[in-house]
Amino acid sequence: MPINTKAKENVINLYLFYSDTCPHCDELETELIEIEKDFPNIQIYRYEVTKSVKNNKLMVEAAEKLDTVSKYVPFTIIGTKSFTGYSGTQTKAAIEYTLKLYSNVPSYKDPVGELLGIDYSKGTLTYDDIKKLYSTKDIDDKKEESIIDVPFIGPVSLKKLSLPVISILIGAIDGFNPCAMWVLLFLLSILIGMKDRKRMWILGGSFLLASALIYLVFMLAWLNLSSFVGVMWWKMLIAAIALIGGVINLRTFFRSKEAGCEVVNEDKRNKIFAKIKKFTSEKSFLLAIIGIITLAISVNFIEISCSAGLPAMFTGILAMHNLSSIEYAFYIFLYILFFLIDDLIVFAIAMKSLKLTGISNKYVKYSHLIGGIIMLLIGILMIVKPEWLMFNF
Amino acid sequence: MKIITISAIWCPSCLVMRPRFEAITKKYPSIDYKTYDYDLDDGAKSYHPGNILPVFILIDKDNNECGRLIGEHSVNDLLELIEIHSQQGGQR
Repeated sequence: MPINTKAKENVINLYLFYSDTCPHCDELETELIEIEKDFPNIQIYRYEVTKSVKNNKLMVEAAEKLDTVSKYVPFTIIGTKSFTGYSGTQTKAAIEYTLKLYSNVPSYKDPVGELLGIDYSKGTLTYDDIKKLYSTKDIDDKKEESIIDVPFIGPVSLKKLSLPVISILIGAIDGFNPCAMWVLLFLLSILIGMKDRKRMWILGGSFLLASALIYLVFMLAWLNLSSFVGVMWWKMLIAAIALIGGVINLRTFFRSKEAGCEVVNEDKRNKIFAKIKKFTSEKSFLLAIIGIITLAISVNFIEISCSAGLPAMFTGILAMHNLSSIEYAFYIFLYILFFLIDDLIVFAIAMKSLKLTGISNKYVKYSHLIGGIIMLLIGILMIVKPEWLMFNF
Repeated sequence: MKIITISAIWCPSCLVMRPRFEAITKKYPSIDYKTYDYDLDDGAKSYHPGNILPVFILIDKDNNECGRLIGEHSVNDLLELIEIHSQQGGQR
């Protein structure tokens, strides 16, 4: 840690948490050397976090001070503004923009400086305060590149648009894979035969809810796993899943000749049908619901593997972003909603018309093609240009 | 001529084909139609349906299979199959 010999007035502290094994940290370091020449009033404090437990703990505490999380390095802090990761020229531009803002004030709020016990600015202005006072069109130019004008809607931030679009797109592609659809159809055919609307709604709805729940549990578990895996290993894992999943999807596309339903696992299917018949004819409504939920959980748990890694890949990309818990929950909810949309349509039509509807397997075939291409692309980008997958530019 | 259809309750493609097949039955009401459920009807397996559903099998007047369509097809594909085999001597 460098010894501070400068007066604190007009000096801007920049805190950098990095790892010796992190290539993006090296790239940011190169940029910081250039930035120091343009901003002689900055003081950079560097903390290596993989070899020092103390520094790792400091990084976590520093993030907590700013009410954020520090899952990835490099993790850079100026005042109350933090940057996670390194996205090339965009990160450099964002740091320079922040330094320009802070250069306007003689003092500012520096909670991390206080935490680290170094000489720090004792002002009260936060990043947002300084931005309101001093941001100009010139300084904002780089930020405005990520805002587009959409007809009839107005200005839209690309930063805010990308993750929802990805959630919907990948969720919908995953949903076209009718892994558990056959169970839903069989369940609905039995329920339609019973002509008991209340039972249909509750048992059918329970099946769909349980299916959503098992997906949610899987994705949250995967998201939490990312906290325990180093950045490089995480990216390699997601790249491997994406590449293998992409190949499997494309192979499925090229191998499928007719658009139709493949008959597999006859014994397993017959056992599931027997269970459905048993649960739906159960006199106790509560036992029937419990039976259907248990069935949905077991069927979907096994069928997650049939999605060829799509939910794991999506959650892996989400984990790379510095989001709040609510934002993670929102994007996962969006994914699951669009994943279930074909099931919801079939269920709604069955409830309304007491007839079963099918969605053509032609769409399934093309979902393998589109999904395969997207997964291969993501796998390759994760290796050569991972910063392009960071949608919070 | 006889047309055998092998489908399954759980098969979305079979549901998609249902209205198309109904159009055929309306166009050719004199053909003998028989539907088997792959899982529930023992007779289905005797026609060796394979592993893709639905399956449409044309049987001629001598009770021999003379044509087959597997999976999802358009109404025109079904009509073409019937027309070809009618011209080749199957009764309608």
